[in-house]
Amino acid sequence: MSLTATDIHVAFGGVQALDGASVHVEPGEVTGLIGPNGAGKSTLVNCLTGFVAIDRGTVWIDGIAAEGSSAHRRARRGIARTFQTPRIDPDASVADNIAMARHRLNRTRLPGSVLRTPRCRREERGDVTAVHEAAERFGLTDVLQRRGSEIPVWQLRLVEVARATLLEPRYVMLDEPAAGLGGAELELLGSSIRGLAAHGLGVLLIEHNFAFVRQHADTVTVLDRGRLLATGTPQAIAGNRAVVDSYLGATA
Amino acid sequence: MKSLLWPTVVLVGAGLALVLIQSDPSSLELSRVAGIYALLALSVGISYGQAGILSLGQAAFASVGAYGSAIVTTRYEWNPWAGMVLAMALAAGLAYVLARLLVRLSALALALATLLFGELVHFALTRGGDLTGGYIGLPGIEAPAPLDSREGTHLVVWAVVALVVLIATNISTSAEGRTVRGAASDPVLAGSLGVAVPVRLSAVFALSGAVAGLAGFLFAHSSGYLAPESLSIEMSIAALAMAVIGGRYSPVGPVVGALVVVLALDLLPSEDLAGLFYGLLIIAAIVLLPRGLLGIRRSTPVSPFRKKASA
Amino acid sequence: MIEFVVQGLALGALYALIAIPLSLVWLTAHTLDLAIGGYAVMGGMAFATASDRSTGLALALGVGALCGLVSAALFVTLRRLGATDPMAPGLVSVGVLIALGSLAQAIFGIDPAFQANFEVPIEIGGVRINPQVFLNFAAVAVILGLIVVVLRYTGLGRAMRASAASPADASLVGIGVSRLQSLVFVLGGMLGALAGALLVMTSGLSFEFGLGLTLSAIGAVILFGLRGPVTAVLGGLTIGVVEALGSGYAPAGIGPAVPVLFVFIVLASGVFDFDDRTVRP
Repeated sequence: MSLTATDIHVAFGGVQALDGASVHVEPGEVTGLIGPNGAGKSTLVNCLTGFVAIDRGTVWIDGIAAEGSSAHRRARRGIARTFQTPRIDPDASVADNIAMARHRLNRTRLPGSVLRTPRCRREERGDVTAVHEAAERFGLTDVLQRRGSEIPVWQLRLVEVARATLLEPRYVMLDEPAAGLGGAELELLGSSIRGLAAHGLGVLLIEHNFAFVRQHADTVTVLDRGRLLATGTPQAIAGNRAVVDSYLGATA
Repeated sequence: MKSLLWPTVVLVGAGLALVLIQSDPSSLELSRVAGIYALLALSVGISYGQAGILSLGQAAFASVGAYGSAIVTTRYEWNPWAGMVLAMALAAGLAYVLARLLVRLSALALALATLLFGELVHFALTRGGDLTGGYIGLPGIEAPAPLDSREGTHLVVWAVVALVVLIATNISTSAEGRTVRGAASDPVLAGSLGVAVPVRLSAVFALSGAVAGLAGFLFAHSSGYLAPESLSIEMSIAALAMAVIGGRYSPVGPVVGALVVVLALDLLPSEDLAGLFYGLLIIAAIVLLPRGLLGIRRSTPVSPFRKKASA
Repeated sequence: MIEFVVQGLALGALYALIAIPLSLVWLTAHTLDLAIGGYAVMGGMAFATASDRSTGLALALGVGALCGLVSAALFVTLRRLGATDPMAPGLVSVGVLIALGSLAQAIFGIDPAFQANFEVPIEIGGVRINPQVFLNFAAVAVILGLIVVVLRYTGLGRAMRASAASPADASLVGIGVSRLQSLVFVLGGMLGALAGALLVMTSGLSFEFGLGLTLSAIGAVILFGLRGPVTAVLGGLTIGVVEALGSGYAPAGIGPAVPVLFVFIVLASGVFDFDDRTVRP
């Protein structure tokens, strides 16, 4: 049981974005994905979640090749994600934005909603409880009624993480969730990520802040120019000569 | 029950109106036309306000429903109420297929495609030979009771309007409405949350098509005749103008828009100027009242999350 | 067969004539002016009321410019109000289209206008050709030539191309973007009116033709990908030929539906779209 990408190749209009990249996400563990800008980290997440078609290589979801499975099907199979540039409906409330993730678990569709069946009412009550619980976990209770356009970007990142967890996924891909977060929020995010792993989720964490990765990740995978550069424990990566030369030397 | 407020207002209003105008045939006729327009405007409000699909061919779905029912009742002696079911099913099915084909397009391309679709339906009806009666259309369409009297028609039409307002309210306040509005505003995000965006949006468009088909049925069976021009492109534009004027995000906005427009149109000196009036109306609506008379924004439907936050 | 093609080219040249401004409006204002068929109807009907050709043409161009000016004012107002998408101005132009059709009916009546220039067709290599074809072609060639020269070699053209790429850069050239966009709308009004006048001489025009003309013009600009006036002209000619072949060879009565169906299929196939929706996250 794991989410694995092996030897992924992707080209966009002549640019080889991924050139044999691999990553492995184990349930109950946090995998850090690091690398310089343009290394292909977000593209690899897009491949795992079905947003980008793969030229060569395979994504395995719990041992089954995910070839041809669309983004929404992969989400339904339990792969959640956040976006590097947070995506939010600016006109809807934060609560409604988060609640959208409950669609996967609910079974009421248009006919049931039109008729307001007992199941529809029950599920909508469940949504309210779930959204409030998630909001409390990420310190968002006070902004639930605000519109998406009214809250700052760092808070949107927390909204995205809260929304992703509400999908009740088995794997969650977090694309730079800590960017712009200050001390207290960073700690909250870190402990939430550990909490997700403790609940048995496989977490993939893209992050530039190596200290944050080192603190929370169980294993770290390093990409450079679309290729797998190294993979190992945070300590091993911190001491890896090639990684220090190509990436960490500049930032750490 | 908050969701019953507007449907009740519509029903009570229709009842009071009947007391006032029951001996006045021209007022009853105006009320019939306004009610059918209100249904068409509601169907635009559901598809545009919820699923973000701006249809410039909504009258075509009404036409398909109206002709479907008129043909089976006049030629094959179907019961008119079976014709009604057929009218809604035909329009809904067509709308679903059309939407599945087109929802991946940008908003402008989608709107244009619905305009072209309306033209194609119009062509098909004018050149349908004996089946559709060509340019002349179909006379002698049966009016089943209570559509056989002006008072009965008034009550039936406005009861249906009240019912559709209830349906629109339920959609806009439900979790499904929330999902659909989100899917229309950001399909990438919705996809990442496991929402099958084309299916969800097409389902709403199919419902909107069914409402238009029902409007077409009521039109055909209360008028007694049907021609390709009865439910024309001008009517599509008019319905859109009504929804935009009243407020497309509000479940009752399109009804308000339809009443305002039909009453204003009644004051117009010549029917030839109807196109000019509709044209100016849609221009005015978009330039002056982008959110409609009721001034409602997209997410205003009372969210269940409010209660708990204040508790 | 060849006669159908020639007949189609005569009509296609007129579609091309109204497709040129449509492509320019897209380039400079990033929207579609769906009222273009309405300008043709107003201009053509006005042309037909005049006693001689030159007065008629002047009248048509005046009416067209006036209509274009109204559209320009509406467009600029909408942009000032903050509508940045192509949708709101596009919808408003549908309103203008419907209003102009109704206005044309009220002013000029319901009778179609048809004033042939040439009573007898000439024969070239055994094919009978209405000389009007050459007139229509000449009109398109001259206008297209002028516009391409202006676009390529003048400051105005550079400003137009810049406003397509980035409005801020266009302001640097020294011409206000909204003035430039207004100019293109007015040009659209005049070219639409010219096409209407030529249509009166080619095959006739009535107040109901506005929507059909607009749809053909849209088909023309999107057929080869909304790149500019040259592809718009090619698209217009193609649509004209498709329509003529449709009315010649398609089963009785469905000829006029052929171009509409053709454009619908082009749109539905998704090979062309106005804005790229396949945005990668």
